[in-house]
Order: sequence, then structure tokens, then C-alpha cells
Amino acid sequence: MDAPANGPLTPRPWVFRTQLALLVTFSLFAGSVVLWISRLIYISWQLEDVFSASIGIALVAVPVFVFLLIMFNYVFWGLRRGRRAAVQPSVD
Amino acid sequence: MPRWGMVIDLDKCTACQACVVACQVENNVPFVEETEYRRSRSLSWMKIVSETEGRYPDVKTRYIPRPCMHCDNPPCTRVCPVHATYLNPEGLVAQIYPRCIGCRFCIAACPYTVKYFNWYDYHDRIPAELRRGDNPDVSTRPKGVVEKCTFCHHRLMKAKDRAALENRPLRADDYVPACVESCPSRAMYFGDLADGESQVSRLARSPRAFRLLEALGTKPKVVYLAERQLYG
Amino acid sequence: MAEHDWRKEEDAILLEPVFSTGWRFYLTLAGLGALVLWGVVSYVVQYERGLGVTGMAFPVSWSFYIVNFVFFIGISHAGTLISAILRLSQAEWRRPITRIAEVITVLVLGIGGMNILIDLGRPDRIQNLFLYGRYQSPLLWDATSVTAYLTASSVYLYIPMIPDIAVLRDHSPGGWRRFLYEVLALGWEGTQLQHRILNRAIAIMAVLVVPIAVSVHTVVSFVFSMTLQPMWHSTIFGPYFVVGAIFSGIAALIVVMAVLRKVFHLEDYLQPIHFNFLGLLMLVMVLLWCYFTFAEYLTTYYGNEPNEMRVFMTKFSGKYAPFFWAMVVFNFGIPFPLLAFNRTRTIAGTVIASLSIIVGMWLERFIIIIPTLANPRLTQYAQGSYVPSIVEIGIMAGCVALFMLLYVLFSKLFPIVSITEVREGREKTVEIVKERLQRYRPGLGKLPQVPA
Repeated sequence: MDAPANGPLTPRPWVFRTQLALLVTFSLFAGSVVLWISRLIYISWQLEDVFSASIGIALVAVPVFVFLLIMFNYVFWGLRRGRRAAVQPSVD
Repeated sequence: MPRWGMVIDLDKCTACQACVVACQVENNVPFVEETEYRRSRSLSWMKIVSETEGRYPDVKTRYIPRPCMHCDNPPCTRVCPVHATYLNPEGLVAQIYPRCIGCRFCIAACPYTVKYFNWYDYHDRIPAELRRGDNPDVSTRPKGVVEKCTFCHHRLMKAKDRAALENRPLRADDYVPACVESCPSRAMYFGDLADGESQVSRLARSPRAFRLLEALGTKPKVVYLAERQLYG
Repeated sequence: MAEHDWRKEEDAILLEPVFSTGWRFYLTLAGLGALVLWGVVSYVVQYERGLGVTGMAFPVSWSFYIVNFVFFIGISHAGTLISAILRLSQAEWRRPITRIAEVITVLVLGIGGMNILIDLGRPDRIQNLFLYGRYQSPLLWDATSVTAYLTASSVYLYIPMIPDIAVLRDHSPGGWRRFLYEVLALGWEGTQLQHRILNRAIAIMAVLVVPIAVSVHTVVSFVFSMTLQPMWHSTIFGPYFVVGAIFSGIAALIVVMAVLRKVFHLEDYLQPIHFNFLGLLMLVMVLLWCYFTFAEYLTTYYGNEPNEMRVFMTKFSGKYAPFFWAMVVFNFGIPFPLLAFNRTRTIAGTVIASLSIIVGMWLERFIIIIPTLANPRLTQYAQGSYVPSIVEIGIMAGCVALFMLLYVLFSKLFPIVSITEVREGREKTVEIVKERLQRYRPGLGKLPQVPA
């Protein structure tokens, strides 16, 4: 598995573009969840509807999604950095 | 700000069901077909329920008219995910029909079981000639939403408008729900509980006064006056 | 393109379902597709005509869909949680079963969440959750934690799968599949740096998903326990539901493992010992579940509060007694003896116990939800019963079939047993265990004295 047995693995640009699109989709998703939660806080503040509880729940929920986003980015860019081509720039 | 409340004197109530009919007509509460009725899907915002205690010969039955309790601490509004039912500043537990998503959480949470669901588009199924009698002041409910007694909230809005037009403050007798208005034995009273001198406030302080499931801490604004032991 | 023959690979049998497709696959697909279609048609009928086509009425205003929601979310604890716990505790036997478990989680969570949407009277107004949502409602706690769990478990399924996707990429002949694998492999080449990053990510994710998983079923129980209704308003509901969820989750995992073992001929990978160990874990959960049930029902009975007792008695000896006692038999009567004895804790034994538990846990959700609604506090004001309609049965069948269908499709696209993990185990397990032994066995000290 370490050495690709067949077929060149030259990263065709559209492979990378699709990967980027995946990353963007995931970021948009996590971002919209965070936005949604902020909106819930805003509504509860507007309607004086247990603002403190909304803050409390958001304090737990938002970091989870932010953290997942960070993890995804860590793996995405980490694996990219770890490629042989990236380690030995001459091949690229 | 007033806190609207109701007092029902069980000694005066004859269980004649006038309030039930008045409510049904006033609020465009749909009549369901027999098949639906048999499946226990009929809606009645106001309902006379009987409570029987003990066994023959030592038996006692009481009849209780049961509207929405309009709790000051309502378990139903707390669980609504979209703010479609809420306690308004005047103490009415309001419903916003166009916003309700039909999750029925409020039905499950209400200990008084006063909330009803539109399993079908019941209003649409009523014959057209009957629908002509609809009250134009009250919106009809589509399928898939929860509804319940509103203390005839539309009457309050109308009364306020009239008072504003006549350039005077709202009077105590301006706003009365249909059930109270129709009660032939005058067993029901309606008014402002925030005003300590109002009739309902005075009656609510009576030693006969009790509330349904008081121990739950829901603080209902419908107060009952217990029967006096006149028999025996 | 010179295709490298996957058949010559080590663990070729794991790649076989991905690269070769027989008529059985299409037959399964057609059968499951028909069931899913039944479910879809049922839902369309319900959407058009209203929730009146279900068996629900006043006051039983929640039924099959909510039962299925709780049940499916419960099953979802099979995967990610068990896989994470086994990873964290470095149980070497986990290797062939982690992915089987994780896939269950991701699919079943989606279907569970879907059941809430099916239950809505006005699904066309779902946008109101975004426009006017309020965090005071436990329903939104559910929405948040289920979304978090679904996202986390998808990431947790995906990250350890990257090396396997690279294997597939290297063997696929071309076309859209090759492109898909190339994209999803994220340029995996197995370099040291990549391994380090991946392992660190897996370890962190394993820690993260455990509290999320626990939170999910806790807030699912809060939907009931946050109300004041008799036999719902209970403080142990959170842990009780979590225990029940893990319980039914392991059962689902064992059944899926047994099916995959037969269909894909994975006898070499899923050995009796895996069923034995999972069976032991399930035995613990049988007892835990019993303990919780006992605690819950005894406190109700001893307190003897009339409203609670009314619900209690309908379960115990009234209208719902057949379901209650069936639940006891399916969750304890059948599985306990099967799992308690070494002789019956075989593959067949654990599978029978698991099937029984799956049925039993569904009944448990039913028996928690329906009798309370049918016997509200003011029983004389409203009392009801519930019989499911054909629409509800159709939608439930569709949900189960959809799970199977998606599982089959997943196993067609990706190896269902982690090739990388199995290989790593083959190479390193002995080393790892030997080293671990040296660390704690008295008398051996730090010197490598273990005979080879």
C-alpha cells in the first residue's frame, strides 16, 4: 500500500478542486449550524425567553462544531502536507 | 397590565353544556364526522367532564366545565420549539396557528389535556352551507396544527378597538368570553385577576376556591368554587 | 491503465464485494427498494391527507414515529460509541468490527432524525425551526445533539477509512469510482507524516464522540422527562435511555456482523471470539438494563402516587401488559440464559439473543411512550388507546428497509472490514500485547524477558 502499485497518482487539478469543494461544503455546513445557534440566542434575547439557557447550550454546542471543523481541516491539509511529493518538492 | 382569569362556581353549574356549544360556534371549532368521533378525535375547547368518586351507595359525581387553564406557569409553552404557543403579557396562553409545525409536544406536555390537534383538515370537511355560519372574527385552523381555548382572544382585541374608538379605557364588562356570556345559571365569571377588587379576584380568594392539579405548580388562572355540602 | 489485480492482494476477500457484483446484489437491491417505495408512498399519502391517516388520536398524540425515533437513535449507539470505547481501551479484537459498527451509527442516526420530520403535522413549515426556534424546547436540544453526533460520527467513520480508500483507488480500473476514491483518499500515500496525522486525528475523534454519543440519548430521554407526565417525569431517564441505547446497539451490531459474515464469507475475520466478547458486553448491558428498569418501576410502585400507579398498572396488568411482559421476556428472559453460559454464547446463541433484544428494546420504547399518553393525570377527562394504521407500518418498514439498502450500497462502495486496521493488527498485535504485558506483569520488569 505504501508504494502505489499501478497507475500514476499525479494529482489532476480537478481532483483537488473537488476535494476543496468537499472542504468548503463541510465548512459551510458547520458555519451554518453555528449561525443558526447564534440566531436562536438572538431570538431568545429579543423575546426575553430564557436567554441564559440558550447561552449555556450554545457554549457547549458551538465549540463541538468548531472543533469538528478544525479536525477536518487538520486531516485535510495534514495529509496533503504529508504526501511524498510535498516532502520532496522535486517530484511535484 | 391585566391578568385575565375565570371563576367557575360548581354549585351554580347545571352541566347544561351551553358553554360547550357557545364555544364551538364562537371559535369555529370544527365538528368531526362520526367515524372520527369514534376514534376520539373530536375537538372541544370547552368540555364538561364528570368526575366520579367512590362506589355505590357512597358515590359522588361532580361536573366540571374545563376550558384551557391559561396557567401562569404553563408546561406547554416551555416545550414549544418554534414559539407557536406562548404566555402573552396579559396572561393568556396564546396559539399562533400559522407558525405551528405540528410536533404535538405541547399536547404531550399539558397535564390538563386541553390541547387538540387537527388530524385532518376538519374545517374543510364541514358542509359548505354550515360553513356560512362561521364567525368571521376567528381564523379557521388548517390540518396539522394544534389548537385550544384562547379565552376568546378575538373578543379582547375587538373590545380594545372599540374602547380606543370611543376614547375611553377598557371597562370590566367590555371583554367576556363566549362561554361566560352564554351561561344561563351565571356560574362563570370572567375578569382581571390583577385587579384585587374585581369580582373574579374576590371570588378567587374564597375558601371554596380550588384549582385543578394545584400541586403541580402550574398556577392555573381558571379557579373553581367547590360545591357546598347542602345535601345529607 | 495497467490495472493491478486486486485478487492478488492480501485480504482480497474484503475487496471482493466492492469489485465484483453478482445477481444476488441486484435481487437484494430490488427487494429492499420495493419496501422503501412502500414507505415513500405511505408518506406521500400522509403528507397529502394529514396525520389523520395514522392511528393516533386524542390523547395518544405521539406513537410509532416517536417510538421509532427513540429506537433508531438508540441503535445508533452501536457503532461509534462501541468502536470508540474499544479503540480507547486498545482492545485488539476490535479491528474487524469497528467499521461495521460505525456505518450502522451514521445510517441509523439519519433515519432516526427523519422519523421526527415524518411525525410533524406541518413538515412544510420546518423553516420555522430556523426562523423562530427556541432553545428552551428539548426538541431543539435533540436537533442540536443529533446533528453534532451525525457530523462527528461521519467524520469518525471517514478518517480511519482514508487508507482503505487509497487501496481502492490503487485498484480501481477508472471511471467515476476511481475519481471518487481519488478525491476521498485525500492524496494518501502512507508516508510516516500522514500516518502520524491520521492516528492523532483518530485518537482525538474517539475521545470526542463518547461524550457526544452519551449526550444524544440523554437529551432524547429529556423530551419525555422534562414534561410533568406520570412515569415520564423521572430523573433516571437520561442514564436509563443511554443504557438501553447501548444495549440495543450491541444487539444490532451482532446481527449485522452475522449477516455480513455469511454473505461476504468473512468467517476468517469475524470469528466466534468476536461474538463471544460482544456477547459478554451485552450480558453486562442486560443486567444493567434490568437494574435500571427495576429501580424505575419499584420507586413508582412503592411511592404509590395515584397518577403514576394508573400508568404503572396498565403496563403491569392492564391493557398494555402483553407488551410489558413481552418486553421483559425479550430483554431478559431469552437473552440472559443464552448469554450467561459459555456453551450457548456461540454465534447462533448471541444472534438469537440479539434479535430478541432488538424486538424487546423496540417494545420498551413503546411501553415507555404510549401508556403515559393514554393515561394522563386527569384520566376521567381523556383516555385513549392506540392501534397503528397501515400507513405507519408502511413507513416503519420503509425505514428499516432504507437502513438495509444504504448498508448494502455502502458495502458495495467501501470495504466493510477495515483492511488497514486488520493488516496493522496482523503486523503489530503480538508486539503491542507483548509490550503491554511487560509493562504490568510482576517479575518481568522492563527487561524483554518474555519467551518468544
